Amino acid sequence: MTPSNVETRVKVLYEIAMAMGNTLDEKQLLSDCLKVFLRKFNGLLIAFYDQSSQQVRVSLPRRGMKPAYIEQLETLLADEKSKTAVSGFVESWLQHDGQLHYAFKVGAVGWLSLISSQPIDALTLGSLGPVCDKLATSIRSCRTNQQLIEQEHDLQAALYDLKKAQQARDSFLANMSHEIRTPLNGILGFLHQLEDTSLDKQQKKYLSIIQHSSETLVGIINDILDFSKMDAGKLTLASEPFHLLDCVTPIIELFRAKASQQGTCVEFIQQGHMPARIKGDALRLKQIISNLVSNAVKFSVGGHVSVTLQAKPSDYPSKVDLTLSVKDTGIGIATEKLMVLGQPFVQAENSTTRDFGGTGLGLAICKGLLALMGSSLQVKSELGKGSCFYFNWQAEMAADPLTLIKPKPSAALVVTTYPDKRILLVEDNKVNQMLMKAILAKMQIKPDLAENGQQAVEQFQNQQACYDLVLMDINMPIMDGVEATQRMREFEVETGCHRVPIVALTANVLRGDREKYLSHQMDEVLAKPIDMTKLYQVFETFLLDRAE
Amino acid sequence: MSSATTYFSDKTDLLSLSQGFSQLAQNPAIKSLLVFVADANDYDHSALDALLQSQSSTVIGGIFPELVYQTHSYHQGCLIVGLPYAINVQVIQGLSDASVNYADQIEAVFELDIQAQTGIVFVDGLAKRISALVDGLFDVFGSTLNFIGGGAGSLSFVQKPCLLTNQGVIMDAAVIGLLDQPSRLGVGHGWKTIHADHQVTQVDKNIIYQIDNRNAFEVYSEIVNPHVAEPITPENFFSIAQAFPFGINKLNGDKVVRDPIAVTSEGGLGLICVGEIAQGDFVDILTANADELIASAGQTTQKAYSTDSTQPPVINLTIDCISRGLFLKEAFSQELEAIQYHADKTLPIVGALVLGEIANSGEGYLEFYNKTTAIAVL
Repeated sequence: MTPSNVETRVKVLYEIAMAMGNTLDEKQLLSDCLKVFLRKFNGLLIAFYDQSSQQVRVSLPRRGMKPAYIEQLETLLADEKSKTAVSGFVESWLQHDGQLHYAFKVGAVGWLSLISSQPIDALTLGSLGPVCDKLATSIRSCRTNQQLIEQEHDLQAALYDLKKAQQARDSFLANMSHEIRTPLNGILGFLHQLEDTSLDKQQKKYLSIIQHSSETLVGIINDILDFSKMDAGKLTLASEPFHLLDCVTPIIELFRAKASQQGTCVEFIQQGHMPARIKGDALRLKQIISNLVSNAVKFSVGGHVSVTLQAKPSDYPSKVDLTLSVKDTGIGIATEKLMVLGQPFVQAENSTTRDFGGTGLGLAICKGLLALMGSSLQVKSELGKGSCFYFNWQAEMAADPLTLIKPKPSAALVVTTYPDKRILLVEDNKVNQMLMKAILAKMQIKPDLAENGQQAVEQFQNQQACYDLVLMDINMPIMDGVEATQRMREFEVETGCHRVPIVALTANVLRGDREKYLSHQMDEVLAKPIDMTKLYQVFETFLLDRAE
Repeated sequence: MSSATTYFSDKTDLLSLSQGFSQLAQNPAIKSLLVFVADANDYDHSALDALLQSQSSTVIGGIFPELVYQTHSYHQGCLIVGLPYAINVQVIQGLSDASVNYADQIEAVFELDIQAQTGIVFVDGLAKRISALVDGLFDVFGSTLNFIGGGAGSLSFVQKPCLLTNQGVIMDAAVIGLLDQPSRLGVGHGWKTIHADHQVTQVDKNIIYQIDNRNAFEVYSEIVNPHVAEPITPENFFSIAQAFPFGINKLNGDKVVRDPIAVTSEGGLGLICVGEIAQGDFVDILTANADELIASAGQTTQKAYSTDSTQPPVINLTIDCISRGLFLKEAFSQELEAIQYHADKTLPIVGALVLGEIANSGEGYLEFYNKTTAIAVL
């Protein structure tokens, strides 16, 4: 080979090497590379035989891969497969048609097979090792990339499945919530009715136990729903002005009363200049404090619980730094158990559930709610001596309390009577029908009853909408409460009748349910089991107003 | 014995072409028509459409810068070659469309078991993806067929309808005709290296922006200027550069010639070539004198005739580069005489001067060439 030919050989090998590694798509890489090989060697046919799949993966030209050729290649590979995978030229032979067949090993990934009518010199053949090695590396890179793509695809699929499972869980929880609340509504409602009947001492005690158990059950269901929403990232906090001490003090008072029955002292300490009103989610703050105080009381029988609310000026004039701590003299928590505290369904000791009850969801919910507030739950504890749970958060102070005052509905449970009022009760559940009739009877109301939405609409139309109030269940056979309300509203518009207040009574209490029903032209939404105080307030709002 | 019947007219009117069609239609042995029309005729496209659509024989051809008939080239006129062979002609549209996979298209229009030994392919020489089409042709057919053809169009470098089919005159496409007849092929150019070892370091398809990591025009000027009387400038580029094409090396020493035809100001004086160059390719700067090119044409003919024919041929189909014609000027007839000297003199020399040649040597990769002579004894 003359020097000029040597230079040409080096340049051509360089150009072939340059054609590799420009793509991470294996088929494209092989196509590009094989094309350059063929052009530069002036070959007739080239193919890549993949070692792992044991077949020709790419051949150029497409229609050039004759069965006889593959057969020859397979024969060669059968002999060579077991040999060491060193890249480069392996063998050449003259075919029957006078064309030359060259075989090259491409690392451990496969074989390159070239057919040419022109011979390739020995020096060039010997120099192709690094080129084949680079091809092997490029192919491996493509495959690694492909694996990454596939893994990403699998992860996406898993994520999709997870979301679907989460949706299914949410849907299941919504259904179960409804299904559990409906009978609970009957239980709690009638317990309330039973309370007003003449009972002996033992019966009253049993009644009290049943009431307590039922309320605990409601609490557990609420916790599970809250945790589920939080876990799905669907729980958001309100940012409304509220009176801080009005929010905190009643909780302390409530637990103080309960604690005193077990000989536990609950004290409330305020430190610093307490703002009157702050912005936030009062309901959720109450929930956090209730959980912490409830735990502290639960674990400090005959001990002491100290709730401290501390206010400090913030770096921002419109804000205040608040710290709330709940310290008890209870059983305390071992250091190694502090780590798992706050994980859902986990309690510090397995025996805790047995001795003190609880689902272990309370602290998990507190942690989640605090995270939404931009805070975190801290704990200091010493086994046998007690624990201190505390958190701090920065709250925006509400500037104008005058504009925020809302008329407080009467909290009195004095039952007002409405003997002249006509109410349409729409309820499919027999127990709930009986319960509502009993409650309404106390208010001297005898409601018209409809057992589904369609019956309700018919009665509403027959009576020319001359009702003072409609109590509407949502989930009913034949026609649901939403559609029935819509029909009634249409009837009112068509006939020019006055607008009758419609109050939804529903066991659907997931996020968005209330807003949904209000947007469907209902006037108020009451959750089952029915809170009697709220029910009386609603009656006052709609029936007293109309009476005036 | 089968033979072609040839009609040639140096007149520019469509009537002459029409008369040619009529004349050849009298011959029942003719099954297909190769049609070469000079760009200078400037036919009315509607009338040409109608004429082409009225032909009962299969038509494949183009409008080219010049025609080749016997030992002369003509910048006006028309040439019709009646072949006693059937040609399966298919059109591939969208020759500038970046999204088209030409191999898939070609595979779709030609049956898998098609019987063919020779392919004639004409492309719109000003389309943007000629190389991709050529790759697609090889991807499907490989070296199982001898291909010969080239780029139709105008030296004005304004893209316009230039491919002749039974559907009319079309543009931005390729017409591929496969015939089940053997052919003997010779491809050669005669250009020699005067400066080697330059690497194309920045290129966008057919525009070279950098050579050896420097401005392509500067590098090219430095190499060429010592060989010319007047320094090369963007203004005189076409006339000087036609004597100094690029050569892309193959391992066997062959070179694929790339013709730089103009300078673009976009991106800093890039060199526009007829045909693509790959980034990283090493190129030589080539040159030749008239005698060398003429001699090469004779050698190319000899090469075509060096193999035994399996069947009596009917034509010497000559596809030569227009830039060779422009470079050789009056001497170009000598190139055609050299071809005739080495060819079977009983067969007519027919063809065109084209914008880039498409051919395989019959034993290697199908290439898009510049400044090259391709001869098929068919």
